[in-house]
Amino acid sequence: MRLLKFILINLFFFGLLKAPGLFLGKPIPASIVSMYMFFIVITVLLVMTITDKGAKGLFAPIAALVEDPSKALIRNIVFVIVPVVAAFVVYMQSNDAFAPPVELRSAHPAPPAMVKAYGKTFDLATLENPYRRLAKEGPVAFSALVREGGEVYFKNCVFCHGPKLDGRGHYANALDPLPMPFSGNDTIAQLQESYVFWRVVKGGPGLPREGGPSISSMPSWEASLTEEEVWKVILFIYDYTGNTPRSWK
Amino acid sequence: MNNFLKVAAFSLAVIGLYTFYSVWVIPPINPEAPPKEAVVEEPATVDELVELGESVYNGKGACSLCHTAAAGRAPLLERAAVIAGQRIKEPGYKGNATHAEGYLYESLVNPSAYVVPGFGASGSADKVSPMPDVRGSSIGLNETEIRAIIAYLQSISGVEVTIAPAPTEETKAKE
Amino acid sequence: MALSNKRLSIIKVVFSLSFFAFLLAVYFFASGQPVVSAPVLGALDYPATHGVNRRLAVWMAAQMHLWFAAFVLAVPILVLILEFIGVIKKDKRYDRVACEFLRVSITAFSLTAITGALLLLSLIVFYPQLMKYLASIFGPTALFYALFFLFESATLYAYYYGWGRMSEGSLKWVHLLIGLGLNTAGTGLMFVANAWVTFMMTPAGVDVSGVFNGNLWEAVNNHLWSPMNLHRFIANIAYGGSIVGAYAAYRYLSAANEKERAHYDWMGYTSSLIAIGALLPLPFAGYWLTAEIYSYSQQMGITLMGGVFAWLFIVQAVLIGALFLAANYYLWCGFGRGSYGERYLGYVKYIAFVIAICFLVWFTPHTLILTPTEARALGGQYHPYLGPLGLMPAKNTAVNIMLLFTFLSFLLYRRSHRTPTVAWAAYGKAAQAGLFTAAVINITFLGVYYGYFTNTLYKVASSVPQVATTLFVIVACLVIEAFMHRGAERTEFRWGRMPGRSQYALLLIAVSFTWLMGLMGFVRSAIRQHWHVYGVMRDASAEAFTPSIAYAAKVVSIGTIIFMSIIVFIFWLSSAGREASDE
Repeated sequence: MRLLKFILINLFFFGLLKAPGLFLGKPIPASIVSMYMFFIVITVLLVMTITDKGAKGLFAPIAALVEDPSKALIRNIVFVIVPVVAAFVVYMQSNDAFAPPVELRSAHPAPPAMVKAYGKTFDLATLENPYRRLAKEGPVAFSALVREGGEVYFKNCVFCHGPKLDGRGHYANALDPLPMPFSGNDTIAQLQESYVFWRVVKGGPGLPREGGPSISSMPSWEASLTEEEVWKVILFIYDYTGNTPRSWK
Repeated sequence: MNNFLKVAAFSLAVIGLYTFYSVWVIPPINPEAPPKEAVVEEPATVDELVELGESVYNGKGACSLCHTAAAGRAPLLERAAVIAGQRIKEPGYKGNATHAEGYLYESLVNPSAYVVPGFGASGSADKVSPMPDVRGSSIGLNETEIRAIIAYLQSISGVEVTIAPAPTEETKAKE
Repeated sequence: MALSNKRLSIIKVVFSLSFFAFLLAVYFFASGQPVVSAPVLGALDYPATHGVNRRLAVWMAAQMHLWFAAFVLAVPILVLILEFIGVIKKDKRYDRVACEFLRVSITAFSLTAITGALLLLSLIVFYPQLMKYLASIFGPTALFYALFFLFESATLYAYYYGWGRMSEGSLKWVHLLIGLGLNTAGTGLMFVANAWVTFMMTPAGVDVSGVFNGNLWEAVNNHLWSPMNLHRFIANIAYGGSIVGAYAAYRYLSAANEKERAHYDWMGYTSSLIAIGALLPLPFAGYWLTAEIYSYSQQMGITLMGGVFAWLFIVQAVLIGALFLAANYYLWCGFGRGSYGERYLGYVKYIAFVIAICFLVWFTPHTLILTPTEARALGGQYHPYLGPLGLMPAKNTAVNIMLLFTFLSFLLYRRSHRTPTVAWAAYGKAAQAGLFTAAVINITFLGVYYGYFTNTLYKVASSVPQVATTLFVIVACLVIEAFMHRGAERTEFRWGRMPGRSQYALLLIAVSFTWLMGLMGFVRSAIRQHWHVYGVMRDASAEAFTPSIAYAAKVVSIGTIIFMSIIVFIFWLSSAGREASDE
């Protein structure tokens, strides 16, 4: 029965590692799960084989299955099942060959210190949204700017980033990596406006090497939007999602 | 002999697992090929000089490795040429430069002449700079490349580029 | 003690061969001509190799030499310590085991010299310009090298052959003194060789174009020399202990009778204890080494810890984790040696649980490998729950807790053969438990609070008080333990009752150590990138590229297999020789 216990304990930990994916929608990557499970199985095995008695109890059913003449029927069944399971696993894995390969990608790579755009050089460390101060000084003018930013958004960005700004626009499913959602608190809420400015203006082509493989399909908007329009649309995406830009002050 | 085979098989299995992990499990990353010793063409115009400076700044010179906001190891250089002009007039400045361009040159070839407070090598009380002499060590810039870097720093600081494409007698005298 | 004639003649041949090679080395270094500056090399400065990969050849020769050297430097240290303990405790067992250690390693001395000569020869053949440059600076150190070598050979001879004759009274102390001389000479040899290696990484005493300023001490005492000396010294002890442990494990498995089993069981335990004991301070020596690399060149430091080699440290974590798991398993199996061991078996699963968790945290990478489906579900590269585990504070915390619980296994193991009888035993145990709990809480608090809720300045700084906590608790618990067990009711350990499985843990420790040494040696050397002498002399050969981790892992694995095979062969040689002489 120690064998059963061994299997159950491992299954328990396996379930624990799978739970975030099943119930919370945040799966632990398969690469990590297999690594974790490899060491969990070994540790459990070690703990259960410290004494000779324990080791014997654990391996006795297996030994009996192979050696005991009275278990010939079960043995034959097991000896059929095991290769079939192995074949099934191999089949499933070769099916996966159609999936795109696993890759390393940094979603928010470190920005350069300076960005050249619109014939100027912007210092990202000190760059601020010129309209941001209006939020306090002139709320009416500010909301007009936000509205204008919204217009820019729905003429240019909506197709990928979606009408709800959740990164699920019409084209989204054709793209890999997915367009960034702006809702939620883990994308633009973590970034300064200067960073967002850099990403909008330079897009996928302007990603540094650590952001690679640079397959982001975000266009570089430098040619089609003016500097003012970029700042306005940034106001809009923060305003609509209820986020505030990160600031170090 | 039976024991020997068991032990050998066990050891091989352990080595095999480690190899498997390092070769197939972790992502394959190939280090960059060693940089080619490119022949630097003498830039003919100021723009070419600035362009060369930018490529040296981000490439061969490896300046951007430390001089970025993300690294935080070294002062940011966006306004270096402007600050240089103010710095040489400060009472705390102990170097030998008398003008902004000379200060930048001095900072490149003798970084410890003046260390920006807070950026000294640890334990040196800001007396020794962790930056190497760009002419030597692992960087090895020549005079043209150094002048190109200065021109590039001036251009991003928004001041007039005072470095001539080819060294004139005047700039040689200054250095 | 006598050796068979056949074996003696093998040793003689090997020694004369290596001595010849050694003379070559001295001649080469002493003949160094002053060089004006480091030469700028072209592809033609490297002689044709006719299909031999020059880099691989030198790499293999260097790796073999380092493994053997580590082993033969460590064994005399272990032997001396054991002999000394034996004299103090008046326990003949230690003396016997010390002598056996020395005997099994004696052939390895010759192999160290041979592989060293091979390394030198391949360097001269494949990289003549580099060697010319190094010889021009380090020529005079060859004299020291020669002196140490002669002194080591002489003391080794006297130490080994004098074992039987100098076993009583004051002669024993003379013998110990000779052993000390042997170790001094060996360590001195290593220090001289380390100067050459570290100079290539962090050159000093030369200007930017490589012109030597004439101050040899400055070139020797470069940035990495002292930390490298310390790191290699400690690591060698751990390594030697692990190899001898593996030897004992194998002899245990194939022991013919109870007496032999008991002897090799005890030998395996003692040597693995030394190995693990030396492993504990190693991370701190490594920390010093890394700090010096950073302070010499940030570029070199960043190459080491970030970017290309970041994953190498995940591999390292896996290996060290496996080492700790194996060491713990060995201790747990050892509960069966004492008559009270059974009462602690119940705790094992909890200790194992904690160690496994720490282990998992330690090798969780910061940047995860995701399939596109997973990346979609997560919406980014970082995992909301696993992300924080990938950072340094989590790993520091995990390592410290892992050390503490390994120590707990050791404490319980020591108690498996004794029960305290002092009146305050219950309070003593409570105090130990309290210390442990406080330490775990403190370490976790330091890691979590300073690691995640303050600015980056404190992130790394918190590791120092964490380590201090761990060390303090270990020492304090040992002190309480010692006082508590005065006049304790004790039974003898029943040596030779270990299950065969446990011996594989010792084998795993030895194999992992060997592999890990190869891997970390690779990264130490690889961060020099395309330089012979960093920043001074560029490698212009076609093989100047920096290999990937996968490539290095394959080379290290092949090297490990070759090295292990040779070790097995010389152990077999020594046991064959002994059996012949026994008859």
